[in-house]
Amino acid sequence: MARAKVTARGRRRSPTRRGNGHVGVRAKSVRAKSVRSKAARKASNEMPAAKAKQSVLVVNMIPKSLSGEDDQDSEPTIAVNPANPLQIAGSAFTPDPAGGNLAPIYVSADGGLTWSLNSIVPSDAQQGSMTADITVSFASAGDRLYAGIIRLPVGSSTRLNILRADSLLSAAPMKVLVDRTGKGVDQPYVQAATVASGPDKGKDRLYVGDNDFNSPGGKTATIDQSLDAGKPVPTFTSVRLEKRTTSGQDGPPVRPAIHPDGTVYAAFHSWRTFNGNTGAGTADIVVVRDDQGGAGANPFTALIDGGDGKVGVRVAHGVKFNFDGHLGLQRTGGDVAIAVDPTDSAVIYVAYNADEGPDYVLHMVRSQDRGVTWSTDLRTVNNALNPQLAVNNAGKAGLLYQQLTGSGAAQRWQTKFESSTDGTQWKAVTLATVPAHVPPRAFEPYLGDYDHLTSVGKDFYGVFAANNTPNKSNFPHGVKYQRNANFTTSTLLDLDNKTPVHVSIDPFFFKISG
Amino acid sequence: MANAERTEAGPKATFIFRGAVKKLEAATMKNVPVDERTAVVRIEQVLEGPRNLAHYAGEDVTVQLSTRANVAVGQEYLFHTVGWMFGDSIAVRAVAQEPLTESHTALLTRGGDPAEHRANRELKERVDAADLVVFGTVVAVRLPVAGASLIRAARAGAAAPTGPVSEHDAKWREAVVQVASVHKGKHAKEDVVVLFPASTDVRWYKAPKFEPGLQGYFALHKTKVKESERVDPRIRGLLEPAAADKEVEVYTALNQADFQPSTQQERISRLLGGSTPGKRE
Repeated sequence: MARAKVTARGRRRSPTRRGNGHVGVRAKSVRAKSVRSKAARKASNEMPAAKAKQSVLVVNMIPKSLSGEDDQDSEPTIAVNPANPLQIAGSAFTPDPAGGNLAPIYVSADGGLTWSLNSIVPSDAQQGSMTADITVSFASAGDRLYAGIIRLPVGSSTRLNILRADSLLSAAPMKVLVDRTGKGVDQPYVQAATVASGPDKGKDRLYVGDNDFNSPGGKTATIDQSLDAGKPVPTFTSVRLEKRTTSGQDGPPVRPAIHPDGTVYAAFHSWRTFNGNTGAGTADIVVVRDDQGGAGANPFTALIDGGDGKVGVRVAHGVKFNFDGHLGLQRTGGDVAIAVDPTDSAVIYVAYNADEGPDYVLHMVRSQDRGVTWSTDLRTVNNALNPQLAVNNAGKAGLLYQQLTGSGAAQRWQTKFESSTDGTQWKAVTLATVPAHVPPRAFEPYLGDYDHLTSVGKDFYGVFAANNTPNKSNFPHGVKYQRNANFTTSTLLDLDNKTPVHVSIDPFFFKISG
Repeated sequence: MANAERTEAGPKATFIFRGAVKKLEAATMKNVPVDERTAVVRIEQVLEGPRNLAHYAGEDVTVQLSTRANVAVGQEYLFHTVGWMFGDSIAVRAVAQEPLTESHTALLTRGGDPAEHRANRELKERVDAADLVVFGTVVAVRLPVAGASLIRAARAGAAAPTGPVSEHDAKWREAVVQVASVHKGKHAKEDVVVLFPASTDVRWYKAPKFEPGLQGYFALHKTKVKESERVDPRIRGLLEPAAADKEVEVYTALNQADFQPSTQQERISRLLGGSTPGKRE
């Protein structure tokens, strides 16, 4: 694998560039002082949260009234309302507990301490009262919640819905803004922000990264965007990100990242080769940028690759993947994440995975010049997937991933959060370490093709899916269960607090302060 | 109407219970927005519902009433509801609520398992909607063959051009079912071919998966698909362009209830009104 222009220089702050009409709410560039001890750095990158002066909150999101459930609630995402961080929405492959035509989102009105399900997402009772892929995002003002889903019922092609709710606790079903079938779409991944000032002040900008098979010529990486998604009937445009010849399509992950100054990035898995017989292929990890929030005549064309002169900088070339591969019980083949520093839109982080010999290796790199050049690996983790990135308002970068450790029946999924203030020294918090082969897989994906990490202010918020055995040693920094559980006997209990319930996959919310 | 069919006109009720209104304009959960139609209701008897709500008798829940008219504290009603919020307690939306009358007696005294009642209703709906119901045995599972003759021969050693692949691909297969008896519809052949998704992706995992030797009842639904849709995307590029859009009619069984093992014979017979199985014709 060869990378495009590489820079090894240290982190350098550049003035925040402002796009046309987007004078953002600029967070103060406060440099957090590293509190890691030298001994800890030498010994390990693992540090107890207490010593790091971080508080760690981990909450099992299944509410008490659903103590008897044993569904595979995998592939979770969350969204924190920037205007009111006590309001948090979550999503997962969770069916409506009453089996109706509306699937639930998870809602918390107390900063993630407690969770409920609110069934407001269009679905179909005949097909399980849930969604296929689902992601959620708040606008940064006005409490509006957006979702991108693959909607049931099943058909020959996947059905994209882009949805909006006026508020987290809305009793009304989410409004359908886009309903599209055609040749199908994959992994709609929503990100939203409200323009803070200028002529478009107050408008919600919504970017839905998706792999749209309706795109001609196999150039499927797409952003479906609306520059005023909050109005009653918003218009959407499909922006085709891929400008190179593909193997016939791009990979599923197309991930947008928004900066308040109007800069929007997107990273995607640009397929170069694919063998339908083996599932093996190669991809470039490509980053595109738009400096006007996608409002110009040629959106997302600001970055030109120095190697081939085409739109989209190839952060990594020829990354091997296998679309039929697995790491433990979780399928592999397309992990890509991106985050932009809210204090400096020139600074972006990208994570991706590559098949390297027997290992599925997570890589993380950084650009400090708006995506033109990229660092060497800031971090690599063997046999880890579901990378997610976020940067807080002090410029501290956070990385979430799930790593398969051990061998045979002793294998475990370890979910870790790492953070760094300089990109070179990383400290890790193990959020969960759970048996990797229990429960058996009910469907693909076992943990999810993604989890989620975000930041509001100085705090990191995230969500992951994991085995829900109530065992304190599985959650080194503690955990709070709402559903009935006996931590002495490591047993889940039904609503009667007596009847044992099977272990299953649950979504776990976490918050790391500072 | 005094039964679950009440819900046909609007959203279909999935949780039906007898309950007493305890308090109006109140809720059992803090996150529920309370208005004039919000009420705290004690569930006296669950009549039909999903397994995880079947044991809620004796619990106070929040009900968003279908109408506030003629609702009084202390009165009992039959609530036809769908899910809304689930937290420390639960909140449901009433599709309809009915004051109890003598016409409800049969429903209230039928006994049995509320979850089983619901499963039976869902099964009946699938059977009612089916074009063909047969009892039979799967004798073979294969890749869809109808389109095979339409596929151009790949050059030896050349990789097949793929259509776009997705983790949500159905991975269509055909199950050849040897028919022993016909319970609904007409079918003359000795076997029937059922198109089913072999995929275990979240989008398809609930659809029945068939394998040779499997015996039971098949509620089959006529479905129109394009040739290009049932051919595996990984060889879709080999389809003759003219054939790709050709529409064909197939039988599918995509709902969990569309296949019932032979142990369910009595239940199926009851749902079909005890009719004698027909011969192939």
